[in-house]
Amino acid sequence: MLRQLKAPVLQISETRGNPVETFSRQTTPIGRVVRVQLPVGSFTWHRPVAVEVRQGETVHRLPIHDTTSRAISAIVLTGLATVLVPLVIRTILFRRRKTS
Amino acid sequence: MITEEKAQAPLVDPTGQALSQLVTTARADTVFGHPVERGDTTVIPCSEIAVGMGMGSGSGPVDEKGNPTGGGSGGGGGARGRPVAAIIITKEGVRVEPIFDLTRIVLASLTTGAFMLFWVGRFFFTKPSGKGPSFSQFKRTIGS
Repeated sequence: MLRQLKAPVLQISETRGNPVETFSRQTTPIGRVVRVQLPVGSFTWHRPVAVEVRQGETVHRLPIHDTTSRAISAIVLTGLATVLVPLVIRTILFRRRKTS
Repeated sequence: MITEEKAQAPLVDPTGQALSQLVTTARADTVFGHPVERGDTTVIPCSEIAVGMGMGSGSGPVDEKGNPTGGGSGGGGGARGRPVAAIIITKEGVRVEPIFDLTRIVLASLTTGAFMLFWVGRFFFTKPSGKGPSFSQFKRTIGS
């Protein structure tokens, strides 16, 4: 009976795009792949993370920020905090009042 | 008739196609577009891609003869992609310009606002010892 090699459930790897050479500068975009493999399905998330700029001997990395996701996360977290903080305070006050 | 149906059947296995699609997603070409050159400026578009798929199957109880009485299987999947940023290469240097998706932000704000309004309303119009008002009661209170 043939046995398949068991693939890891979570795989995180880095990918590199094609380098672009302009003005004696080499620019290479870098991405990150997150892969979740389960027996019932799989999920792959690939996003850009940085740009590597090589000029002569110098190499520097510029990060790529996902502004939209950050803004949405901030909005959702603010909403949750606005609801949860008064709820917790109210519950604590109510319990105190009940015990006294 | 059966021969015709066989002839019309797809030659490629759909599950295999979906799996190969997942493998393709992991390639760098899918996230980084081809560089576009205009004069002294080169632009590399960057996008985020997420692909997911799942499948499952089940069978019913076995009858006296040992045959399964029923069964079924199903699967589904989806893919999503959106632009994240653009890498701009000029004579002066390399910079990353983020792409701001205003539509998504507005939608998220509206959804969060509605969620907050509902819970804050429930919070203010609820007796601490009992259940909160129903949604219709809350709507009436907001309306009045």
